[in-house]
Amino acid sequence: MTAALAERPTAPAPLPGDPRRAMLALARVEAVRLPRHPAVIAGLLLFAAPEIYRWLTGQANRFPVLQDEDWSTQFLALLVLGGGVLIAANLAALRADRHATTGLYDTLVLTPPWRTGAFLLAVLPFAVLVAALIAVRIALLALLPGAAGRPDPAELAVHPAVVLLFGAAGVLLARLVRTVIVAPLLLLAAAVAVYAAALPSLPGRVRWLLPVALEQPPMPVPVALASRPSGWHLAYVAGLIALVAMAALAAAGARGRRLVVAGAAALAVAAGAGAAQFRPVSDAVRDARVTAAERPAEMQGCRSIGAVTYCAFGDFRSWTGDWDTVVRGVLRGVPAEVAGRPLVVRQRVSTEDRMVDGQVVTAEEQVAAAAEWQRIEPGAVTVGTRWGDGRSEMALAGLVAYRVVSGEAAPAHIPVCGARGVLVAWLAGQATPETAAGLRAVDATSWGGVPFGDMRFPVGFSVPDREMAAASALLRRPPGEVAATVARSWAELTAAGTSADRAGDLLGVAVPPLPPVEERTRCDG
Amino acid sequence: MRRMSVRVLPLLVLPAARATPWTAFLAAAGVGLAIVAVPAAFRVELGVDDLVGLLRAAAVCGALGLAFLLDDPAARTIATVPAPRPIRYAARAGVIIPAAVAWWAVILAVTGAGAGAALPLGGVTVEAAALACVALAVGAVRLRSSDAGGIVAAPAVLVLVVAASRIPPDLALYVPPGDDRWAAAHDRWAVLLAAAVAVAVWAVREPTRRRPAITAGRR
Repeated sequence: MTAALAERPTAPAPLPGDPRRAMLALARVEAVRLPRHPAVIAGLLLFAAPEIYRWLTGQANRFPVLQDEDWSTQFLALLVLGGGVLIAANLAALRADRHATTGLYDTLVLTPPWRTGAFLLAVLPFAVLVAALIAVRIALLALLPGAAGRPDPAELAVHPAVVLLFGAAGVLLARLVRTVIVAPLLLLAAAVAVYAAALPSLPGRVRWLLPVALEQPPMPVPVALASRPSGWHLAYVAGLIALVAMAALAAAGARGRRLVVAGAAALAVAAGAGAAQFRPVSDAVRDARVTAAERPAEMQGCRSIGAVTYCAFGDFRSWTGDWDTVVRGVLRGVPAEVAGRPLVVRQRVSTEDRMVDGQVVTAEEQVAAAAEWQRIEPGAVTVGTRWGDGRSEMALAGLVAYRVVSGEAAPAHIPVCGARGVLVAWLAGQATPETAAGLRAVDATSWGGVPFGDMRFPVGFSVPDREMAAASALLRRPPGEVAATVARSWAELTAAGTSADRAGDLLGVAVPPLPPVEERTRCDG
Repeated sequence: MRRMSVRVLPLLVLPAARATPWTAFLAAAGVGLAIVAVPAAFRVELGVDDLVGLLRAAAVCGALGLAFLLDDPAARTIATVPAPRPIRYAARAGVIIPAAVAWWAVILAVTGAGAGAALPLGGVTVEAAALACVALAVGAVRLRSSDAGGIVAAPAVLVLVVAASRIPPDLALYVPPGDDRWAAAHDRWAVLLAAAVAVAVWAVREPTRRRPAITAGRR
């Protein structure tokens, strides 16, 4: 009798009910619980709140480049949305273990593989929610009058895909290790790996084997020049999701030919798409890069407003009106006959990163690079592919002012001293409120002199602190009054040899005394 | 009575060490160590910014592990023992703190050995201590009403870290080394540390319910 009681019942009776329907019912319940988990709510808040705050306080950039906006939030989505789901899905799948109720579940219709399937399915609705969130965000950005370019659907789809991957990973971890610490550690390790893979010192394409490939491109480029293998990467992540889901089912005890076939297919997709990411950049993109660098006019449309011609890459054509506002602002401060001279503003891109840490560029190399840059179109003013941050406005205003004042092509990042320096800095600062804000921001963070022009371009210049002090004093006065004074002494102020002290006398501002010899800026230009 | 309890403290340390669930902490400490040791072992050339980033990631690992160290499935069964709750937690702390300090010293040694320039170790240590104390404090608060503090404290640490890296620049907590705001940011970290310690000290008191009506009647 005792022996009969102690004997474990073999071969349980066939389970009544349809496990598929029970799985869907459980998935529905878990799908409702998942977005209500504090970790997921915190993730959604951390994702959305800073962006909403930036828009409400007016700090957001109203000139988004959509081909950068589509992937630049992927790392954040991995960290907060993927992280929240990873922890919540892991805790949900471990709930029975944490509450020591695993034994009770043996009496229910669902066997562990079906239960695991339900936990995996429960992540899907939240991924749809994330997809909707991302779609709404990019649609709102695209509706802005200053939006440039177009988003890549595959890059956008990586956001919900990462959420699915991390949700599935949370379920898999719960089936492998019955401790809750593993999920947060995996998240941290993934975040460190993605961040580390973005370091420029690491070989370029390893990052594409991670769920999110973080890059630090020197500047946004037109869509035709983009080389991110986004479609293959999405397929790779999809393969990983399927692989992790199959692994979770297998870890829960599922066996069978269908699982093996599905797992093999997922592995094939992940391996194939993963390898395809490493194919060299297509000839079309390479040709487009060469064209954009050497013959940008072929890819651009030009528009003349008054005497000024603006040439922009197709994606960025909506910005020419805003460039014109800044250029008009600069030309308002110069005599009418000078302002009426023809001027070309051409958008340029540089795909090679000139700001790599530790790279030393000698003055000779700098001059050679600037000469090469100007050879394409001597005299054209360079404008980049960023706008709306104040600094870009100030850089364009500075380069236009330099061109108007000196009549020369932009120099190779040399200091512009004397009266020309004072005049150029004043012209750039008074052009629009944005250029004034950009000038203040750069002045606050620079030492020795204020740089004008993007350092990623070989052309630009700086105005030493002494000249900048005089220009700041001028900027505090009514611009019309200063413009009249400038117009009276235009010839002397724009002459190369006129000193800052003389400019101070002519314009009626105090110029600080020269600093000690060792702190002086070398003024070759 | 109280003095006797305190004298019991050294006797409790060894049993507390045995009862501490070390698995989570060891796993987290291992990941933290790997984060700083892998670049050091492969001699990856990293700048001060990146090394400080690695130390910060390791500090988060440590805090995640510590979040689970106060968990005690048997806590309810020993609520009636003569040694009061603060003494029991003090015994736990007497085990946890040396372990965490030793681990952090190893992390600093491994990172510092590979660094060319001087790292701001003091500041990063304040950040690590603040995170660790937040983890312990949240865990301790949760343990007043539950048996498992770590499953709330660990996500709370992650949320705090991400939130700290996303707050507006004028209130920033994570600032790059050499930044003008470094000192001010570390004042804020120190405030966070002090607040976490205060909350932890409050949370280890016995969670008794006051019954004013009965007390008043007995008086």
